This record gives sequence, structure tokens and C-alpha cells, in this order.
Amino acid sequence: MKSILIIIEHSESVIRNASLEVISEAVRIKKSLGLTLNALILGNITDSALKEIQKFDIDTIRYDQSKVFVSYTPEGYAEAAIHIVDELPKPLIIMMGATSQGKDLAGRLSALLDCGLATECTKITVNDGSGLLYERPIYAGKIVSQIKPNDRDIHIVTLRPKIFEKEYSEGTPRLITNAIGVVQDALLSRYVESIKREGSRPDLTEADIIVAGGRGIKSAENFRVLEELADTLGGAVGASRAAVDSGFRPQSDQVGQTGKTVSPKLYIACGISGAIQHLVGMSSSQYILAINKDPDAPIFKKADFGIVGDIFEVAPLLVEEIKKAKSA
Amino acid sequence: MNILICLKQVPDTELQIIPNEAENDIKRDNIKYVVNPYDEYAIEEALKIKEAMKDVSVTAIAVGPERSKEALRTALAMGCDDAILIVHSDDIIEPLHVSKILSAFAKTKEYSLILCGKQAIDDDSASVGPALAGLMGWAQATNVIKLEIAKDGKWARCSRQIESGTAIIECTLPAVITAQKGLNEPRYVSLPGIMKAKKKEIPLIAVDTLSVGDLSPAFTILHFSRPPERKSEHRIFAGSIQQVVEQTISVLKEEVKVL
Repeated sequence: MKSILIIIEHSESVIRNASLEVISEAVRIKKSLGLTLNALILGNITDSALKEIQKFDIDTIRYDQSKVFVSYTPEGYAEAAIHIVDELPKPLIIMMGATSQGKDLAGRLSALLDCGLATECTKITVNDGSGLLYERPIYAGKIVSQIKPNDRDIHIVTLRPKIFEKEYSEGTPRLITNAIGVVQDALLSRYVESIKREGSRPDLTEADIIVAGGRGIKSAENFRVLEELADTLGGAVGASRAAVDSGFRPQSDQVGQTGKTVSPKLYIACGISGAIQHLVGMSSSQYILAINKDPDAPIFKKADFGIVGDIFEVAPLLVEEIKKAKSA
Repeated sequence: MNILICLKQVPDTELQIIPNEAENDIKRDNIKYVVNPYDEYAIEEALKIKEAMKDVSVTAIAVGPERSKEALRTALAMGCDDAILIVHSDDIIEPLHVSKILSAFAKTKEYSLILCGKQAIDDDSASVGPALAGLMGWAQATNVIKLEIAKDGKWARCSRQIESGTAIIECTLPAVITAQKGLNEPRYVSLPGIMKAKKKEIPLIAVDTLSVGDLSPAFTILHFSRPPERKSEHRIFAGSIQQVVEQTISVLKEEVKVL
């Protein structure tokens, strides 16, 4: 391996945590294998965001603010990446976060570069001092697949968010602006607008605390109790498939297989029995607190802490005590 | 308008999955296979377009072992006009290879739209759709929860689910669209539908009859394993509600450190 190219993602001109994690892991690989580390930023970021990137041991940052890159398009970003790939020494690893944008781009890029793609990696190890091994969960995490890239010029890896530790590293990156220098005129798609989720709760895949409810919550209105608990803790609200399919919560709140895989610091499972397709989506949480009326619910076998009781009695009291603890 | 739906037959979500003895695949004895759940949204969306517009033909296609015919049969029973299986005997195929096989086939016909599930729930790669778009040189929209096709059939407006909410894009057709849960409510298969599907022929195509290019693997699978068990003490708090809540607050403070 000779070089790494990281494609950096930003949201509202701020670097996304998923990208900072990718940079951190790439720096660790660089230290082990002695590669050159390159980053590509397309679109506009704030000055402080640019400064933040410069806090890492990256060799070269290529930055292009051309109008065509201000909003993400898979065709435009893929073409820009290929432009940089051509300049970099091979073998080359292209890295990005396994976010909705990262996955959209990585798939297209793998086709255009005719190269392998390992998505949603959760562990990277250096093998024999020269190669890399990747671990990626498959079957929603029921199985872990360990793979090794074959001898090719280029491969792409995407890293699952909130798995790799963010770690600043000393460096003096060279900054190249207007790095691409070609203007796209044949984009096949156009970004129109984004509609933000209501409220200020974080996204499930980015939240440190998640309060999730299952069939036991019984109605959409009852979820207000969990929303209050989540808001008191500054967390997100999640739901089991049963709760989503019963119409209690929107699909975007679903945790588990056919929903989101989450790794928060604390996962509070309320009225969730613990079907396998739910457990696989949340078992990489650092701590799990289960609240359920049924002492035999399988969720207790995964939980660190358990409360056997009625969520509608427990949650309001928890909210009250958390508020007290926070103001103390 | 011709629509192609790409399907995969996958193990049911309810199943516990374990590695085989050689640790290079999963144990496949007694596995119940279903249509990949996300692909059902793709089928439903194509059928809705067929119902709303004139002269729409919907073809379902799968790349996989011969048993994948069952999944295609389900697609036919739901209302697809025809179904084709590209036989690939290996259970594990690299996603880009699937995209190459699908694009080699699609290039021999004239499709305006290719619909796929946003990911297959076995490999969880979520890359066959966007890679297929790249190989076709088409526009793409992944994770789509709302799709509107323009009356002239030349472009589409897509709502994509992203971390912060929804992103709306407009793309030219032909395009590859991948379906996320929430796009629609897939219909149930009716008995007359099943009877009709039974009578339909599902043609088999061999991969080597298509010009697919290089299919040498980019990765070597070293081994499949079960994820490590979570280490936890399963501490169940006891006492009155007040006491239980106090104990909870104390661990949230001292151990979890979120307060």
C-alpha cells in the first residue's frame, strides 16, 4: 500500500463525526504502514472546520469549493474522486464513512474504478506488517466476516460511524485549493432541498443516548413518555420493528435488521421484548438498560441493567430524578 | 416504459445465522429463504407505476442459485409481468460482480428504470444499486422513501432518507432507484396471483452468455464468525419503584457517566 485517499463529508459546512473517525483510523494505518495520507473536501466548509481537519496528521488536503460541488451529487463527487485517484500513487485505499452519502458514493465509485468495496467495516488490523484485514458485520451483525483485499491497485472501504475512536494527531497538512479544476456540465441529477427532521433530537446513528420503545408502549401517543426521557437526557428516540409496523413511530426510528444499526453509549430499551432482529441492531451499545414488565423478556439477557416494571410508572420518575441530578 | 426489478433471495430475518464448519459461509441447512424485504418495496413501487401509467412492463430479475426462482415466483405472484434468473451457483458473490452481471443483461434491453432494494439483508453491502447505476452511466437515487415519475417519463423526483431527515433530488431517467422501507406498503400475494405465477416460465440465463468482463474477486474471505457475546452482568434492580429509580440514577452517574 502506498497511499490513502479519504473523502470527507460535511453537513451544514461542518465536518461530520463519521469523517473525523475515518481520518483518525487512517492516521493509525498511516503510522503502521508508512503511507501518504490524502483528504478530499468538496463543497464549502467553515474556516474552523478546515482548521479542525488540519489537526490531523494528513499529508495533503485537496479542497474544491466549485459551485458544482456545493451540493452532493453521486456523479459529480465520483468524477472528482476519480480525478484525484489518477494522481495518487498505487496501491491506493479510498476511505469514507458508511453514511447515507458515503454508501451512495462508494457503490458508484467502485463500479467506475472497477475495484473492490468493503462496506461498514468495524475493525481494521494490519496484517504481516504490510497488508490490511477488515472485519465487517453481515446478516445485520449475526455474523462477522473477516476479509483481506487481494492484490489490486485500488480498493474502497467505508467505516461504520461511532465505532472508530476520534483522535487528533500532530500534522502539517499541505492545502491545495481548487483541486479539481474541471467543471461538471453533464450531471444527471440535481439536489433540490433537504427537509430536516422535526425537533432537535440527534440522529439515531449519531446519538450518544437512545431511548427506544417496542410494542409494550402500545400507542403513538404513549411514546411521549419516552420522548420526554430522551429529551431530558439529550438523546434520540428509537423503536422496534413491532412499534414501527404498528404505526407508533416513523420508519426512520426503527432500530435493528431492516432498520438502523446503532452504537450509542447508553441504550434504554422500554417495552421491548428483544426479538433477534432488534437485538442485532443495538447490541454494540456500550451500556443497555432494559425496562420491561415481563421478567422473562429476552432483552434482559443482553442488558447490563434491568428494571422489571411498568415503563409508564418508571419513566416519569426517572425524568424527575435525572432533572434533579442534572441541576445538582 | 420498461422497468427492471433486481431481487435477491435471502435468509429470513427471524433466523439465527451461524457460520458453517469451514467458516467460509453460513450454515445453510434448514434455512428458510424469502424475498429480500427491501426488494418487496421495489416490486410494489414498480407495480404502482404500472397501474398509474400506460404501457409499463415490469420484469423481475435475480442473480443467484436456482432456488432463487422461488423469490422470482413471489414477484410474479405480486404482479410482475415476467421474471428471469441469471444462474450463479455460488451463494456468495461480490456485490460489484452482481452489478456487472445485471448491467450486462440490462444493456441488451431498453429499460427506463431499474429498481432495487436499498440493500440485501444478508451481505448488507448496499452497493449493488449505485454500482449498477455507475456501470450503466445512469443517474441514481438510493434510500428512496418517495418516488414521483414525471408524466413525460424523462425524469423523477426522489425523497432520500438521510441522517438529518430527507433530501430531495431530481434525476434524469433512465435511473437506478433503491427502495427504503417506508416507500410504500407491499401488497399481499393473492391466490389467483399465485396460480397465474405458477403457469409462467422463468427463463434461466447462464452468466457466461453475457459480456460481464472481469469477475475475479477483489477480496478473500478469511473467515466468518459469530460476534463476541456482550459482556454484561445483567444487574436487575430490586425494590420499590423509588428505590429502583435511585439505583438507576446511581449507575447512570457512576458507571455510564451520562449524568
